[in-house]
Amino acid sequence: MMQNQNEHLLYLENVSKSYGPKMVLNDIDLAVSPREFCTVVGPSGCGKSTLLRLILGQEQVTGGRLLMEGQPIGFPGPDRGIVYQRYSLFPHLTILENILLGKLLSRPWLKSFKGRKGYRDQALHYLESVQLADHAHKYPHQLSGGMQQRVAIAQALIMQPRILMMDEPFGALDPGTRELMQMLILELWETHPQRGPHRGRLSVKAQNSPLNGRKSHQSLRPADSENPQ
Amino acid sequence: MRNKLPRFFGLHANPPGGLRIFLAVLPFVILFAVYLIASDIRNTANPQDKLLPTVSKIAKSFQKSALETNKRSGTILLWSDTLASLKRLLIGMSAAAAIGLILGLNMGLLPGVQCVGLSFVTFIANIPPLAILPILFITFGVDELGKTMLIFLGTFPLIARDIYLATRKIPRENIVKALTLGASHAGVVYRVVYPQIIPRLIDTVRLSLGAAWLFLIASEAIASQDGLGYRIFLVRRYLSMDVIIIYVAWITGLAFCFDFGLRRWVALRYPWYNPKADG
Repeated sequence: MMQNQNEHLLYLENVSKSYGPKMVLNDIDLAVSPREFCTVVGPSGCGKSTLLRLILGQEQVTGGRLLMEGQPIGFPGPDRGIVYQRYSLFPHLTILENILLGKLLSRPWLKSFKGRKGYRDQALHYLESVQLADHAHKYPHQLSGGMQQRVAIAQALIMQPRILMMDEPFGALDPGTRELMQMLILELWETHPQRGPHRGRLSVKAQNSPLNGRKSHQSLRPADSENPQ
Repeated sequence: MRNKLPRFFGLHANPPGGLRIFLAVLPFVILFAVYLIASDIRNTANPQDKLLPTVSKIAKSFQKSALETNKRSGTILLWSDTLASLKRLLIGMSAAAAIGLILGLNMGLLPGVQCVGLSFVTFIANIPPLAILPILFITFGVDELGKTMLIFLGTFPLIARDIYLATRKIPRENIVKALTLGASHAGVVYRVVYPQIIPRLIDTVRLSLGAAWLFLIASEAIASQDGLGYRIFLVRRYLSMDVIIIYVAWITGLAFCFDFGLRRWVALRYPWYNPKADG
């Protein structure tokens, strides 16, 4: 694994994370290639979300190495997208504005007024790809849980992140909706355009039930590789 | 069989429309009636009574202070007093809202600013504003600046602390999400969190207005040449209850209108803020 660490989009070696004396992750190894779909499975409390927060850059590892394309991973940025179980959407913006937000936020405020029209069309296109074009001008609280998560996915996709992470994205949905959403994710993952050579996308998904990981390239089970206590 | 809902008593009460209005008006009618009866009793005993003036006496002094030009000042007193007071209130509250918003927002999001600011703002908040009124009058003079400063110092720590708490309540996920959408640090503060906090700011200002009126009237009572508070404390010397009652009713009406207006503004402009209200 050592020699080709630069070829991997994401490369974790002996990663451990502890909060004071409490060890949450211990000796995690993981290598993920571009366009790979990786699912992290395990019981609640085993450190799935912590692992995602480390990859996201929201928290720092306490041991080992965490590389993205050979470079140590930085603070949260537009190269890594995230869809949470809740709180992915901004309550004060309409659905369209929520999807548009990334495009506007990544430019300086004064320049963000130019070219809004083009971004709008792009945002509408993403809204259509999650089948929500009719709800563009509603606020998040007016949508059901499943719809909100679809918006959150479109919101993350429009930024074309190198890695798209989802932390139990469908945990709060009923089984029927969850099934549909999983199909949608796979469909988006298969149809989504690559951004040139080596510009693949990895999805890291954390969830409780192993059933959901049935189509992923590899499943990682933190609980198998470490002792949570 | 359907349950019949009680009209007034108990947890399940569901008063019909007309009864609702009647119940809402009832306490006011009672207050008014009690006043009329008491004032009538006192005025029959002593036509010169100052304490509870009759409605006709109040109407006469309303005519004098709100409709006729005052000979000495050349203005209509109620209006010039209102204008002077509202100017102080508006300037003081605007400054408090602006500074409180910026401080609270930055303290809530940036740990560095929080370390510098939070304990200091908490310290300022615990100084009783009226206790330092003499200091303010000595430092900033007894003119507009001293009064505006009292309103500002009395309300901004509360606004800053409330905005700080509201900012802290925004889920961490929301902020990380904004960063993954390419927001800069300033972008998170002023383009993501700021617009979410504005309705809360309006709410906080609305609730702080009560304190602001208190500080306004206190400072006008002590040193001023015009203003609603000044007039009330001036005519107190002549036991002019008729004028005092008019001014108090007018201040209450103004305060109620501000409160109502700000509440409506939030409901109309920020429909996402209280989602239950439109559901």
